[in-house]
Amino acid sequence: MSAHDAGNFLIRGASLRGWSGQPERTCDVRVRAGAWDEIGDRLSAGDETVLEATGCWLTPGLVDCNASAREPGQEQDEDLASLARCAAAAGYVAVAVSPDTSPSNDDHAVTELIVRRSREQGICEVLPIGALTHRLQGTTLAPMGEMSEAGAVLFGDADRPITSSRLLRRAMEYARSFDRGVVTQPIDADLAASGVVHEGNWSTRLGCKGFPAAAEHIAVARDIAVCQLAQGRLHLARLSARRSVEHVARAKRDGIAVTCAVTPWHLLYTHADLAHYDVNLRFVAPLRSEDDRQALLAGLRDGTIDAVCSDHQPWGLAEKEVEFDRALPGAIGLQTTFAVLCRLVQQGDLDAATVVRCLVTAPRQIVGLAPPVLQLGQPATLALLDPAAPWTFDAATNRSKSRNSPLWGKVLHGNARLTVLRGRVVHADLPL
Amino acid sequence: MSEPSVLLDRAHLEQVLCHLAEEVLAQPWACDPDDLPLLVGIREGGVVVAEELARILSLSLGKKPTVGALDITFYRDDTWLKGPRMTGGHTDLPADLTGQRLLLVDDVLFTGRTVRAALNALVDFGRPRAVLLAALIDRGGRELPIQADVVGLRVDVPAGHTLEVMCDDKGQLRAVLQVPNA
Amino acid sequence: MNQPPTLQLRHLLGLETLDAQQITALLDLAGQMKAVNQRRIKKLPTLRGVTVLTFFVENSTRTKMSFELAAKRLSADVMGFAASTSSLSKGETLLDTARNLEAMAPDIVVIRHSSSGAPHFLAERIGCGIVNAGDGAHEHPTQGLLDIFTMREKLGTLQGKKVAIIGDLAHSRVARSNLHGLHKLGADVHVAGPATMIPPGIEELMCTAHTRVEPAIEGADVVMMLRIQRERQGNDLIPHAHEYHRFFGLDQQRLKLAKPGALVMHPGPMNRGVEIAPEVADGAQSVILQQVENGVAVRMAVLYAVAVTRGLEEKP
Repeated sequence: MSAHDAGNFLIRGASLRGWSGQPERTCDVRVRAGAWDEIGDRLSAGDETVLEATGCWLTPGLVDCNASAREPGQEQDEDLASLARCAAAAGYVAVAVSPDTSPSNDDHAVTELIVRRSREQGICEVLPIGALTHRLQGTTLAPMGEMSEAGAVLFGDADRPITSSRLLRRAMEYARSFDRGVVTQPIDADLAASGVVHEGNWSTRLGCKGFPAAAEHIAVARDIAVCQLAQGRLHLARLSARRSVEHVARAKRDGIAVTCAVTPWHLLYTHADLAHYDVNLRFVAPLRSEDDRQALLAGLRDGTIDAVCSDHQPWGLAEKEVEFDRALPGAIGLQTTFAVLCRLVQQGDLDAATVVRCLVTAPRQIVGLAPPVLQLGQPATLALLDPAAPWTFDAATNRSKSRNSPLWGKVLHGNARLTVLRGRVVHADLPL
Repeated sequence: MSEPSVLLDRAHLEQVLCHLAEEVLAQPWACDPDDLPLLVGIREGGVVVAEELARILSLSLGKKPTVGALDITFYRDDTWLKGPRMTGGHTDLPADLTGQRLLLVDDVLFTGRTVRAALNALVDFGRPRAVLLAALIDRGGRELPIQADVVGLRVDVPAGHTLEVMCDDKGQLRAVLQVPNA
Repeated sequence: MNQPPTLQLRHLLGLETLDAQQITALLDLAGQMKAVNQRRIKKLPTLRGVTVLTFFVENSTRTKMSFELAAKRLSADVMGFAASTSSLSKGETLLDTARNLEAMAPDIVVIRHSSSGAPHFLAERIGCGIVNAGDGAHEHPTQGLLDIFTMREKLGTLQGKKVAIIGDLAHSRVARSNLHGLHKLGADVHVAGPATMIPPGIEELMCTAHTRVEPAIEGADVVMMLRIQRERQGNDLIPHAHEYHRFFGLDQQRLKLAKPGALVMHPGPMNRGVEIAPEVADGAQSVILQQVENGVAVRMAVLYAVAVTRGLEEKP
């Protein structure tokens, strides 16, 4: 079986996880001509391929609520096709892409381009995040209505801070007419100044400009307050600080429509990992202290943090092989996010149910996808994940055009064995 | 492999030193008490020999010649083979040697490379009137065209052996050992 | 005769990664170099055939001169590669520049850069010895060594000596290198300045922090004043220079709090009347010019140690 075949296969012994109205259980599932055919115990094999999948998770597919595709504009680092191949190889069936392209996605023409190209490629569903303001400049609202029609699922200005609280309020209010949420990267730009390392003992030791945690959680508190005022829907893209999590927990208790996500990097690393100025460990929200990391893990476990986003940020040598404080922030993440979470499960920091929630269920809600159902006769969309499969992240396995990852060359555990999008096999990594 | 053996014990060393002193005194340039040469010992062994030599010479001359020390670490030609030496001794010489008569003193004269380095180093302290060379032991095996003016003892040491000059903590020579190289 | 121990030094990126023994060895070596610098013929043949390249992406006439003089006194060939930060950011990445430098086959690259970690970046990517001549607000190890060399020369030992470092600790690479080195040699280090200039977690670099200067200076054996960067853009750390001098500057009155004869140090260039009063800068206790003199000796020691360590590695 190769990718793009019409799927005829029998998956044996996997556990169903993440399906709406389907309790977790271990069973056999048959897909015939790309459609769900039969579910049951010990199904007998016909002429289809049999996948022995004991220990694997049969999920509706992962969904990412924040990645950068670099198309249009910077296709040398990534494009929609290579992004989709990264996604499919990792079990993602839908990826929300940020508007920080060139030109930025602040117009329905760009939104349509992204949607049309991705549909034609048919490897992964790409969900554009529309710009909140014209050219991401934070001054005038972008045409959210037209972009919504064209397929934009959320609105935000990528990692650019929205300085004006009034503008943010108007944006949240306006987005309500199109039933869309607003996504922000909470940064008090004035307080953060040009900080690149979490302000603390490591920024002092490394002599790098500090980015205080307060520069994030002040913005979290403001964004929540504005959201409440506007009665809008707010998604906080990438949190890094304990106090930010506390603000979100309180807002959720108060019934404010706020969701939030973290990156795998903030769950895995702290500022102490910056001792060698690794440019691939520079992120928009800086790596913070062990206390912050523990708070993020706890927030993920108790549901305060809804999702884990890949924060896929492909950059080439010109952006990354430079001085630490001049390197553009971010790392490629689509292919390694599941493996990072599997490591955290292995270490006892998370359980499998949390992983499914933060990669499968919650991101669907954030980007506005319908709950996934397994309905016989319908085209199958699925990802068969092996949480223990060892693999090496290197030139042979990488599907991105870029290679800026702190995990480059490392042996990881956890990967997708099979990804199917609307009946079409888009990734298969199987010993047959 | 053979064991280290004693080439000279203290008693023999005293004889060799006295012979060296006699050789020096036999030289026309060494006899004027008002114009004694400056003894320049090459660190580390040469300095000890120079001090001992000065002591013995003073008995005949009635005046102890001045002893200086020369560290040649930065002038060696085997730095790149043996690595940086971080804590060699200090050079202790007058700032300007121009016009001085020098007697360069080393413990064992072997390849001549140490003396070559020492001559280069001395040039950086000015332009001495003359430089002469004294060696406690000349063991042969020269790799450069350098000969001593005065020698305490000539001895053939087979290749693959090193002569080790042992001192006590008072700076007195104790013995010379012949040690096979590892 | 015992052979003295050898010191392996592939790069000098900072004093944080050196231990007390290595620092002491470098200081001893610098002592020998200083003796050379006091001769009439100030030259050693040791680094003949070694090429030293100075790569200064941030202006610094003195440090560059000091390194060049050090290299020349060791008979190395030295050349300078000046690049302005702006020209780098316009196109060529640091990696491209680094590869261009490497193509000239230097044995040692001395780098000064406004970004912290730039020397580490080079050390990981090109195959020659890297000597950090100051990176961002991170370290300036040769300045730290020359400061410590000067203190050791005057005080004998640093064990138990109280050293006060006063000024903008947050942005000072000189201070960081001193903190690492002084702690390892047993000094009791106190830092002081307005809280805007004392970065969080500085105590983890093994010092006591104060927001007024008096407790730091009191009983000190050494008072080191840091330069106030008046040209720093958007400087909102202090109201103005005059007020800084009144509360945080070193004048005769404050210096009396220190031990009699305490050393007054400054890495230069000084702002007279801001961090230091002219009469203190020029006073009997000032060793500021001796710091400059010792800088050449210390840099000779560092270049020698790195060059020879790497020469040794290239042996078949």
